[in-house]
Amino acid sequence: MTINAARTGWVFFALLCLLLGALSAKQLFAALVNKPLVLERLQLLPEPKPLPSVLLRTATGDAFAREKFQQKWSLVFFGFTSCPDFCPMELQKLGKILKLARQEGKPLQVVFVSVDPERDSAARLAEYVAFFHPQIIGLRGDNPAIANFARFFGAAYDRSALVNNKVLSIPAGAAMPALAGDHYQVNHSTRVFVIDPQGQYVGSVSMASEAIGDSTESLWSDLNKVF
Amino acid sequence: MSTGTFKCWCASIFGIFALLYCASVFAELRIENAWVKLAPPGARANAAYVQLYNSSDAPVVIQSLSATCCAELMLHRTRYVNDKAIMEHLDQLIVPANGKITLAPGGMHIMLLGARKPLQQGEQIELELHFASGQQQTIHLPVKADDD
Repeated sequence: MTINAARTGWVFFALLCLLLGALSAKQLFAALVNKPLVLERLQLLPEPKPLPSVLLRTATGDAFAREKFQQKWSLVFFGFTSCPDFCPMELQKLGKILKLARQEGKPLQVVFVSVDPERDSAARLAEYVAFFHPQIIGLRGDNPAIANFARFFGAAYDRSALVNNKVLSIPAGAAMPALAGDHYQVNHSTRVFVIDPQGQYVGSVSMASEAIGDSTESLWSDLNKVF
Repeated sequence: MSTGTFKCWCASIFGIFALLYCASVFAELRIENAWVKLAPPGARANAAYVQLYNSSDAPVVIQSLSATCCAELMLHRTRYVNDKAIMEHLDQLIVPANGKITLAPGGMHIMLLGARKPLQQGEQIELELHFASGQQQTIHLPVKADDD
C-alpha cells in the first residue's frame, strides 16, 4: 500500500516534470519564433515597395526591365566609373558578397547603376564592373530614366562642375552641359538598396563610413537573416 | 697646427653643426601602410593611401605631392553629407606634432591623375611629399588590389 502510494507519487512527479518540460520547451520555441529580427546595418522599410517600370539597359545594350528583379534577391548601388575612392571600395565589397552568395547557392544579383551617362559609355561600364566581379550587372540609361529609378529608392545624386571659376550644379535627371567639359564631380548616394525575389524594394544599408574596416561581413550576415 | 689642418678642422666642425641643425629642423615622417589601389581598366585615376607619423614637436605641413608616374596628384577627402558621398579637394595636409594622420579608403586619399601608363599590380610607385618648410620626402607605394 505504502509502496504503491510511493510509486504513484513518483509516477505523478515524473509526469509533472514531463509536462513542465514540454511546456517550457514550447514557450522557448515560441519565444524564438517571435523574436524580433535583429539587424546590424540593414534598415528595413515598414512596407515593401513594388518596383516601378525600369527603363535602363545593361552595358551590352539589353533592356533590363522590372521582371529582371524577380526570383532572386538584388543589391542596387548608384555610382560612376570615374570615382577613384568610394565606388571601387563599395564594388569590391559587393563583389565579395556576390562571391559568398555563389558559394552558398543563394540567388543574388548585384546591380551597379551609373549616374554619369555622358562619361560612362557601355564599353567603359562593362569593363569597370567586370573588374570587381564578372557577374556584376552595370546599368545605364538616359538622364531622366536614371533619375526616376534613383528617385524611387530616394537615392540622391547630383553633379557639379567648375565653369569660369563658378560652381555649376547639375541636378539629377538633367544632362551635363558640354561647357562643363570632361572633369566634373559626381556626388551620389552611399546606400545599397535591397530588392526581394518578388521585385519589391525592402530596405537599404548605408555604406557611409570613414571607419577603416570591412563592413562586408556584417552586411552579409544581415542579408542572410532576411533571405 | 698648419693652416690647412686648422681649416680642415673648422670645416668639419661646421659641417657637424650644420648636420645637427638640419636634423633638429626636419624630422622625417614615419610611413606605414602606404599603397596605391589598383584601378579598373580604363580608369581615369588611382587612389593612394598611407599612414603618416610625425614624432617631432612641431606640426608638419604637406603642401603638395608629385610623382614621375602621373601628370597630377591631388589631395582629396570623401565626405558624407545626408547619405551622399562628396569628394572635396584639400589644399594641404597637416600631420600634428607627435601625432599621425591616416589616409584610407572612404576617407582622405591622394588622387593620382593622368598615369603615363596604367599602374600594374605589384609595381612600386615613387612619390614625393613637398613640405611647407621647403623640404621633401620620397615614399614608395606598392600597387595592390586590396589593403592586406
